[in-house]
Amino acid sequence: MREGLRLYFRMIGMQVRSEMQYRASFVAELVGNLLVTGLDFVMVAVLLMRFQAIGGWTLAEVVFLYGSSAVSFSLAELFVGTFDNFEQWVVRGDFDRVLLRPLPVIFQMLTGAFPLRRFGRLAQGTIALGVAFVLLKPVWNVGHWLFWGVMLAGGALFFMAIFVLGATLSFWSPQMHEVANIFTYGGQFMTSYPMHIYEAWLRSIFTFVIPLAFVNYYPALFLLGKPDPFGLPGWVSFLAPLIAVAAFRGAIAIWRVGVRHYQSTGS
Amino acid sequence: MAQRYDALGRDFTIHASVCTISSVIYLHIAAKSFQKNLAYRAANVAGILTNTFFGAIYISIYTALFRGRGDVGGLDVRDAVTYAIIAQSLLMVMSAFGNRELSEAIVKGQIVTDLSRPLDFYLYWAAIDLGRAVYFLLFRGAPTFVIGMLIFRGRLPADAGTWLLFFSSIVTGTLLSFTFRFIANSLAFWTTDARGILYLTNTLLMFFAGFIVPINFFPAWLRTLAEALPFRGLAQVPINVYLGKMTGPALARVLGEQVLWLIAWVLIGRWVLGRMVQRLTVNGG
Repeated sequence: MREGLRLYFRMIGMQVRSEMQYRASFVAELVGNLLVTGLDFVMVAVLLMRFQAIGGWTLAEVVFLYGSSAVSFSLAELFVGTFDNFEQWVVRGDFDRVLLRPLPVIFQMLTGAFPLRRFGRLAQGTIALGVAFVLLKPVWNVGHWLFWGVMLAGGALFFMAIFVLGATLSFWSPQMHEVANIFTYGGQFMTSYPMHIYEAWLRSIFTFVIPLAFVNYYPALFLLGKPDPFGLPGWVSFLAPLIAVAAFRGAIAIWRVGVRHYQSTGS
Repeated sequence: MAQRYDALGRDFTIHASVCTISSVIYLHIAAKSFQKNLAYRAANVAGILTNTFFGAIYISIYTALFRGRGDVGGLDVRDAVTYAIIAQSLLMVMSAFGNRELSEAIVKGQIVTDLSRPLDFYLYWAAIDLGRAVYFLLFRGAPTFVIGMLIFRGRLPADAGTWLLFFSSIVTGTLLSFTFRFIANSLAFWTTDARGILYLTNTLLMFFAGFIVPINFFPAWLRTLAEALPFRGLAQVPINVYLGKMTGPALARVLGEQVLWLIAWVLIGRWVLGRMVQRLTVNGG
């Protein structure tokens, strides 16, 4: 275990050093990423300043939800390694190399990339949360803060699970990876707004099929002290870590089926 | 007959038939670019699903925002729903996520080959981009639009004239998009950080086109700024034309402005290209 962690940090360190070789590019891409992903934040701000509220939630509350979702998502993007953009690995036949090396496949996948520009999204998500806390002035005890940390981590793990599932899709059809965007980028976009504004079919997908609602919306209901419009019992808010861990393990199990199905492009 | 030069300054004024051949060549290049995109069928189906899904989220958001309200910024809830459907349909036509093909050709040095072809380099890239745009209009935009209209029941235009104006404004928008991206991509010639610049220019393009939030919902000062910029030709103008919110003299003025911007951007793009070729010649290629 300790050996594994040491190796993990060494390999991530390697990725960081290789990214830092192009320092000017790194800065430009980081700022660029902050601006592009910041458009989502601008959207929340422009709409809520114009319309005052959405589904009974104020600007500050939506910004809190948005910031939490953006931070979780950026952490997932950062730590998910080559599970993101995996279709290119299949198309180019690069995955063969991974299978030949004497290290667990998933370990190599998680350490195969560490795109520092993703700190751009993390930064704007953090700024959004800062704005939300200034506006909300929450009176939280230690338990609330800890639970909020669990919510962010659970969200990150859950988004990682979706990235893993999206990568798995590439074993069958590399072109279909855009469908995965529905659940990754689409999931992040959707969880930026309170779940109850969506139509029943959309809500059901993200509650029962891909239960993102449990790692984002329900914990937020508890933290913001808002009642559940669907009348589910209060403890549902605390299912977040369980559901996130289950989702991640499930995704890895499905990924393993995909690996067995993998046939090299032969190039 | 006017003297004609290719991108490296070689005279290729031979006789009239060469000129006719060359204009056919651009059509051919556009057709090839169209065909290239045609190959990715599964990816396109996935893209239609994605656009429809994002459209559904936008529509839910607008529907919730408009609850208990009439007009906001000149749009009612059904206008906003229609706005979301058309914006999703136009995203890929207008290359709203950007397109790094040209800057990558510059960084990799492939443009040396492109420049040595007996073709006008600017028209060559314009043909590639327009072939791509026509493909996305027919195979991405149209299906996304039809599916969106059937599921979410947007508004239909008042009459055939509106359709015609809508298409003209899409054509103007597509050209604006190409001419602007040509300039932004060309900057890759002077900097190694083309990606950073393209992130920035793309953010401007997406936001001020009205793809993220309709310009109608912007605060007054931001709306004034957005309306002074040409980017709204990519989304806001075609959609408002479709909805019948821009008509008569107001529309004529907006389209006139867009054409002026278009001319300016073609001239700037060609000037930048000229500088690029000069530099290339000085360096010996």
